[in-house]
Amino acid sequence: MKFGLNELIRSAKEPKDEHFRNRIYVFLVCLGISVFLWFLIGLSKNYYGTIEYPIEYKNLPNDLVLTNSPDSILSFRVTSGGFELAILKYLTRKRPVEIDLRNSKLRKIDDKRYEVLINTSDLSDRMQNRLNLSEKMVSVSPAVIEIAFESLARKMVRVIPNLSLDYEKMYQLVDSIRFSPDSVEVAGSMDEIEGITSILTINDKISGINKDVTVTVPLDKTALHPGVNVFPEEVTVDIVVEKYTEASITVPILAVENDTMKIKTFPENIEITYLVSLTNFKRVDAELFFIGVEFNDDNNSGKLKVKINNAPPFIKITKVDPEKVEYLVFKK
Amino acid sequence: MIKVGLTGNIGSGKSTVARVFETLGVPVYHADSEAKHFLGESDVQDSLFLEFGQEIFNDSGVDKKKLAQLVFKDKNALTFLNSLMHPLVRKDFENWTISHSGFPYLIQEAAILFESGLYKMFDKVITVVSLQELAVTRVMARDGVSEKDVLLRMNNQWSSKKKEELSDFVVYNDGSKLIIPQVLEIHRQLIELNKLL
Repeated sequence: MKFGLNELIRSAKEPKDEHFRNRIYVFLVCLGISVFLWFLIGLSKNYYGTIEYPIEYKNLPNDLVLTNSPDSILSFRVTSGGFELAILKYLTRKRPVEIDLRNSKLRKIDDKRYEVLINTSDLSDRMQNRLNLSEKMVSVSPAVIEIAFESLARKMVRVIPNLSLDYEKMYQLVDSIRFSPDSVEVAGSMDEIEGITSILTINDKISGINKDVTVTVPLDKTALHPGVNVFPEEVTVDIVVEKYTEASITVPILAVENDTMKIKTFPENIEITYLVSLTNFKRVDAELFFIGVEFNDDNNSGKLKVKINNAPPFIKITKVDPEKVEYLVFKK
Repeated sequence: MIKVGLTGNIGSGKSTVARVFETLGVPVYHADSEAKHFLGESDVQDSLFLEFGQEIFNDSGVDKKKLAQLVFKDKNALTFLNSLMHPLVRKDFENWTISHSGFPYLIQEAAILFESGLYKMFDKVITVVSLQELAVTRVMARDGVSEKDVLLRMNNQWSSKKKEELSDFVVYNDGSKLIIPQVLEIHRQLIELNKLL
């Protein structure tokens, strides 16, 4: 019986009898065995293949800083039997290739720059043994690994708070937030640390403060170059709070005066309402304030804005009354 | 020379207006602060002792705070105090006026110019008007007294409307207008008026 291809497919989908269906099954099993044997024969031959291994650098010099990103993958091109290659490539765990810099020769480029050149062909024999290859290794890529270093520069920078502090009603910070240490050392290449003048703490929020608080806050290194190290990486923050009370004081506005004119304000005094700690309550005196006015040429309101040029640092001003004053200008 | 009375209810801002006039070179007699000086005189203290007793005195003399609390609660006491002080202030003002006779006009600042009838002795009267809420807030902040006490003091004063009607000039210190231009205009008019005399 002769069958066309279309007729065969149609017959397979809709077998007319049991005998025909059995013949199809036998055919498919034979086909599968043939393909498997063909695959095994194929794997027994030799092939070229690339196997990639991660690199792990060890014993980097302590007094130098890495300034480039050396290769992190080593590619070995090998020729070997198909079975061997398939096992190495897909079934073996890729343990990193360790490169120990302790024994490498450090070459000085100039006053502050250094480099280490690693010829990866030297690693071939080691890998050959480790991989236990029956055939030879053809090549390693990259042929040379270049590792650039620079002299480690260090400097001290100020710590700046980036804390969101929320005090309970009538409680306020006494003086300022204290850090320990108040400055930290940054270390890295000269270029990396040159522009660093200060370092922020991470943004930490402390709510409902009603007593002294001491917390350890990590420093925010996200804005720094990854190669820059900070010592220490966290600081202790002391937030000393005290119960505050509201008070007010009448303070004179100092007349603005120069060789050609004098400005007199009305009223001459303003009322400043402020929060002050109980211990500092008696320290507040009108003489500690220096109140002026902002004089703008384009001022059309007929009033000048009161400007607090100086106030005791231990108070928190909550209200200035009035905020603007009328004025007369006298020519001299 | 023109004699000008400057008045306004408590907290209206009449002292600020008086300082603007002073800055313009106009002599200002502050009746209320001058009256306080008379409290130190022995004759005055004797009269006060006979009327109110020891309770308004402290180690240094008349306790002004206690006296104020007393007279603002008791109309008879206020009437007595006014009858005692006004003649003294009036005479002192007359002497002061003579010593400032060279000026085109001069001002007496007094809180109860109308209530005391003193306004009749002035050629012109200026009243400073403010919103009551503003005035109450100012006095509470300035004198450290309660809202109730401020309202008690205000009850002894005429309404601003009544004072406006009897005034020759009104300075509005309610935030709607600047004070200084109003004062400058009154100053100009008074200078002109003096020239016509």
